[in-house]
Amino acid sequence: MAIPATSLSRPVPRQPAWQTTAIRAVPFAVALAAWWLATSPWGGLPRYVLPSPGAVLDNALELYAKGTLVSAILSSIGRMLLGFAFGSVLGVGLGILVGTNRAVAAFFMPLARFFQAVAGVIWIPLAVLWFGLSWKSVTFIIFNTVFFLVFYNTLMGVQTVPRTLANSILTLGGSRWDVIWEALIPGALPGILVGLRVGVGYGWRSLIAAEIIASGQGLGVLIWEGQRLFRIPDIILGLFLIGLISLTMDKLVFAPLQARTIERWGTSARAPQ
Amino acid sequence: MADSRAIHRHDHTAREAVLPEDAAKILFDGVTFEYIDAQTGERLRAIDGLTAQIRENEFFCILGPSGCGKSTLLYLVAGLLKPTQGKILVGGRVVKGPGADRGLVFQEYALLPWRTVRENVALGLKIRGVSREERDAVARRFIHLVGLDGFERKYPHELSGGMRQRVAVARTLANSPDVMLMDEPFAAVDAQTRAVLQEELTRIWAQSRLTVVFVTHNVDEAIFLGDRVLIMTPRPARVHSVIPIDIPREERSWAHLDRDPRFAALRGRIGDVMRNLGDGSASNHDRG
Repeated sequence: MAIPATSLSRPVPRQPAWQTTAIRAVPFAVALAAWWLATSPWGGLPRYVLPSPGAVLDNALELYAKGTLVSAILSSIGRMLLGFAFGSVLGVGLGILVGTNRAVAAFFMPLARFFQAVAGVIWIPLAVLWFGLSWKSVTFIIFNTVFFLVFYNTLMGVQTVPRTLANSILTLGGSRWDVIWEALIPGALPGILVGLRVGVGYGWRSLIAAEIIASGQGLGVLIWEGQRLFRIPDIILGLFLIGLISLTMDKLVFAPLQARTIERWGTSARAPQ
Repeated sequence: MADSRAIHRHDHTAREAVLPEDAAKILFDGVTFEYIDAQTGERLRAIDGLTAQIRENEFFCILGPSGCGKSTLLYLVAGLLKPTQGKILVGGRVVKGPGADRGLVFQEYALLPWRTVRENVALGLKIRGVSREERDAVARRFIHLVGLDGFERKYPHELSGGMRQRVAVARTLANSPDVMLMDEPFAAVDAQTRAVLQEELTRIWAQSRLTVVFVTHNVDEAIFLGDRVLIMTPRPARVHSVIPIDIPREERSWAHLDRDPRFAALRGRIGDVMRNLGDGSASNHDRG
């Protein structure tokens, strides 16, 4: 075969893992240093505006010793996972169903656009009326937020799969089911992953808002009570923990999933690191 | 179908003009295709009462100006589109929908990005429920046939355009169709690769003795590959003429043909027809 191999995949020169991690830690270290400096005597920011890193850490240890910190984290994560699981499973399922059937899509698309615009925290008043001031309301709000994001992105993902892929499966003797399974679902994966990742981010925001109104426990309550009782270290701690949990979830679940699927297949632009 | 194949396999070169209906491998019988333009809502006629016959084991090229409905014709044979009027018979049976007996090689490869080379080649067999060991064995054979040994585990995006089209050809062949339909398969690869692929396609075809319908807008390619070349008119497409290519198969290599007077004569004749049909893009000097 006289085909030159020049266009074959060239391995990107890879850094050792510890180096990558170290480089990514730099911005956080800089931010932390800036925070520390600003709240130090040289920076002169008063502690009722922004408490120092040390004060936040002390506060975290105190809450941890009392046991309230761990229970707040666990209850928030539990609600988040429950709402997210329902929302994403239903969102992916219905997105594929609607995306593979033109008549169903024509019926659902306007509804989907409408409800996506009003998804999430707008439903808190109704949720409280339906489910009371409990974890159920919070979970419902997360579900509501995640569902429409995942549904909409899945639908878009299915609709962007090139028509020729479906045609190629049909001309190989495949059925409609083969088209869905072999082409439409894997082809929709870039969209599905966007939906899930964005869903996590918006899910957390909804959780905080819903917990403030409808629940007596969780990270949202920690933040809200912090404002009410003027415990600013609580606010900073809640904020930091939510960011950390989101980042960990992304790193442990979505980044590996993406690396193993759409990045390996070349169907995504390389994800922003 | 098996009978007609047995009868006409050996003597089809002797029959030039009209074959009885059941002798043609593919028969276009007054095929008209109309569609509604999505923008204007107008009813447009792409193909207008086209009648033609393609023989068993023939390498049949369809040549026409860009946008004349050549691809539409292939999609009709593949069963992905339905004629507005008339009918298409393949192996004596009216085409009603897509089927594994008519494989289609797409211009844009249409490989599944999430499947490796081996999985793409074995896809038709997987759909039919063939066991994993058997499909791996078949895939290996066809990957070897198209010269991609060692690339079994690569994903399509890791391959060049020419290599992807080899995979697409292997995928179609591995599904053992009666007819291989090819929609400008080499239009997107560079000229050198295209020349190599054209020579290999004729080698593979000679071994398999498939019926091939090959659509192109390139005069040289049609002459190089075809037993006969059907020239289509601009839209709405009809048959302008069918020209037999009388250059023996063993003399069809680019090294040889570039200096062959018969090739030059055919190229001149068909090129003139194409120019008169008003296609500026038909070029004599470029293979794609």
